[in-house]
Amino acid sequence: MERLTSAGRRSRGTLIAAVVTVLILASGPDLVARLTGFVTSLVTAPVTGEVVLEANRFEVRNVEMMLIYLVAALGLNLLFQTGVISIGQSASVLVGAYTMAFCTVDFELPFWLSLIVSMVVAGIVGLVLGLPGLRLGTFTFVMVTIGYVYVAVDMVLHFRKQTGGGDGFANIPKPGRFDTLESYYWVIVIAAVLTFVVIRNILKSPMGREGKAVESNTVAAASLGIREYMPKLRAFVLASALGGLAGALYAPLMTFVAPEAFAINLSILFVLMVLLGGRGTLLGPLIGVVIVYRIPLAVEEVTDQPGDVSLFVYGAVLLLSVHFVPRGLMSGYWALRDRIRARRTPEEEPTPVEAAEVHERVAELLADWPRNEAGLVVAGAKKHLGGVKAVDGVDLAVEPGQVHALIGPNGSGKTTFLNVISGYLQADEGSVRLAGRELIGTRPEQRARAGLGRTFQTPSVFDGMSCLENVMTAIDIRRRASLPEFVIRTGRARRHEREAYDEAVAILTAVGLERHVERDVAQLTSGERRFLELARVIALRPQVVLLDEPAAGLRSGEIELLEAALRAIRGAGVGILLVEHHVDFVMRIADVATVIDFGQVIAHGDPRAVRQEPEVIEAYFGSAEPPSHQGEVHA
Amino acid sequence: MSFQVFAELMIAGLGAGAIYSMIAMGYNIIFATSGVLNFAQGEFYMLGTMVGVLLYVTVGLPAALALVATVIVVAVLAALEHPLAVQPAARSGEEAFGWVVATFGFSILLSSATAMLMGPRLRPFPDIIDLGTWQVGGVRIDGYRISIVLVAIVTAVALTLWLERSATGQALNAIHEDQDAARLRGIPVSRLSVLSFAVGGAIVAMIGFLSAPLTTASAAVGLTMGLKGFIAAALGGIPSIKGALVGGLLLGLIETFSTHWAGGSFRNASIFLVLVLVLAVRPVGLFGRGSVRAV
Repeated sequence: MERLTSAGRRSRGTLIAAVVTVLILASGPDLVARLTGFVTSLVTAPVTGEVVLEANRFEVRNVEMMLIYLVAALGLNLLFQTGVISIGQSASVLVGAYTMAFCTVDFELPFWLSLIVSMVVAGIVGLVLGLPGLRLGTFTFVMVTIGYVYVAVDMVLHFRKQTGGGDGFANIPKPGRFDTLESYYWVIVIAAVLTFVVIRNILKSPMGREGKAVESNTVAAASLGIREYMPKLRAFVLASALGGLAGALYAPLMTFVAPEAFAINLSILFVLMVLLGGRGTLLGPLIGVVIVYRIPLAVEEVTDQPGDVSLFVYGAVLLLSVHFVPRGLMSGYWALRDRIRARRTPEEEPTPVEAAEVHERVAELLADWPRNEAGLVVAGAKKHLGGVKAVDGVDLAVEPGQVHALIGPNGSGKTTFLNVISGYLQADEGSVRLAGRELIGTRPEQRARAGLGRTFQTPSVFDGMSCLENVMTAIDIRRRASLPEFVIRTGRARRHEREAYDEAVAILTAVGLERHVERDVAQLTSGERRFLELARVIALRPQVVLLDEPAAGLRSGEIELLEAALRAIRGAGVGILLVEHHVDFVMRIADVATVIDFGQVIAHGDPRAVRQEPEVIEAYFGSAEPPSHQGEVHA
Repeated sequence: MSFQVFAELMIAGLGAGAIYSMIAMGYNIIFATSGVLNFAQGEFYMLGTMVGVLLYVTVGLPAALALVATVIVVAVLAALEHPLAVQPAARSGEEAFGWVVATFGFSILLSSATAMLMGPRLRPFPDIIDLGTWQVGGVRIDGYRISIVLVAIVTAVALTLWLERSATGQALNAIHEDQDAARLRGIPVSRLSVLSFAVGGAIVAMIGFLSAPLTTASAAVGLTMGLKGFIAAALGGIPSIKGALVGGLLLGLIETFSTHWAGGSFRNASIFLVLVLVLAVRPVGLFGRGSVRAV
């Protein structure tokens, strides 16, 4: 099988595009300006009737501006990937630009140091804003970012003495050896290429997968130990810092900054660049910047109201993109390519997986895992929802290496109980101890990190990610390398990627999803989604697993595979709490059963014995009459 | 601060706040039925002022007729937002990125188109009616400003009654509680969502027209007014109508007093600070209901 990176099939095209781009950029300002001028004139030729070949300084500056915009857009892209929307990127650019002006003019710091200071200052402002802001809802945060733009401009106007107010701040120097428009080009190219590489490395790292995971499904992310807030905050700080870098590059290029350049229109431009190209993709912002950058310039030539007409075009493009390419041009292109490929190479019949094989492979994977000794002990758990006593004083213990079935009629409180154990609901009273450690009061992601895995009644997988990425996200919890290490791809970071990749493929193979490794989860059947969820739980290496109706919707063959996998997990010393309606399945696999009704335990013990108890029969049938067809009892 | 200054700031603050309250009600009524926080809400206010200029000043219709016509025009535009922006966003399956981006795009289209057609400059809006001013204990009270506050209060009461008592209002509530269940019970969810956009647009256009003599008309006010209206709604607790009224009036007061004390440069900073602080302490706003998160 072809060796894949974590970003899967998309990497080769990206690499070629990146190399081509770098080669073009390396040909120097004169050639690049000629090229862009030529291409633009080709596009507008039907209107203007002329094709331009000579270079001019205007085009050189355009290219440099475009690369600066790219830096800001790449940062914003990282934020959008996590599902956070900001219409405030121009404020970060403003902060960077003015910091650069202060540093180089007022404090006479060297250029390169000023550049770094500007990034750091913009990043810190982002941190201060994001710390409270990202706790708010998506839309509220959008409004806060717009407020950031307003306030930033207000402050520039207010502190007139320092900033020059509306008249602007002039005479910002370029660095010594790069003090012409043509030579400054190289400074910008280096910054843009470095930014691109950093963003690429982040997107392909555990941080990139985390970002996608919280965007796709926060509940599932929490079950893998990922706290929604952290990837979003990290992305916002990085996005702000890169906005600051863009501003710090912009100020010396223009030698002059004034607040109106950073008004909300610029933020909208950045949003458009990222969304049109495709958020969360590597090439999306590049494509978006190249296309969108020309809009205001083209508009300027045809109207005396450039601001309003540009905005009108932005609005139209935004609406049209929601209609036609909601995930951007890159995703549209991939979808098209997949469709063509699928037509060319018909799907081969999958070879059925044997239950024995699944058992063997899963057991092998789990063989060397450390085993816990204490299991899960729940005592006196209570949870009232509204006026309903959904969980009303339940005691229950899941021993290591035991399958404990939790059964009860619909609405008896089973799922609520699982949510109390895994922390999605906080218990009103009682204790939940895992391997001797009290979990009450901790968040779901902390419980996952403590060794508690779970699946959901409706499979909670990360749509928009491949099966491989889904599983790697769970493995990432054990990474040792930090973000900076992944940014520069140290040996430790690369080893994590390699090992996580191999482990994920092995786990997916073990549960019979081998041929789906690179596929987007959208292509899975509902049964396969359950197995993917199971693969993710295995990857987490939990002490205890909570399974919420894992057999629901599975075909009989699939149930056999599930049973084999669960037996192997149990055999490895993992405790399993199983909520399931499929009686035969429960009877085959459960070591012990607890029956609850109205949030209270009504029976406990050997599964077969429990089923005969009058309270249990009454709970299901409303009378003590034993059912005539016991196989049909829906436990 | 003398009592006189205090009282005059109070009146100015409530007058401005009433406008925010009305915009907030527009947000809420649309959110309650469609689950969408409509970015274009502020542009409906802007259209209220600018279509008002067109009909009342340029065409010269009588004030009452111009008001009704303005409200109808904006309501139709607002209703159009549903098929043009909201439905495609829902179809795209992109959650927040869908509707935020789509309604944002629609909002930019409205403001830039207005600026292109009618010019970007401020338009004076003559007084609609002279309600006089009174001097009470040295405090100057502007009758028109007071009546704007009354309009907001009456609208809040009327909306509340409509939502609670009328069959349509009950259907809207049912959609808010559970959209799928409402659909199963035969409630025309999509049609009522369009209606909620029309009503949300109409309320905001009305206050745009009525407050234009105080604030003047301009194609550029939409984003700012939308922001403030949203902050009012968020402070009060979305989607509570009572919350919108109180949140708006509160925001008007905060804005007026902070400007008085700290100067206009810190007006935006102070309202955003209040927003973040209030929501940090009480994420659902003053009158919002907390909901239990379930998996």
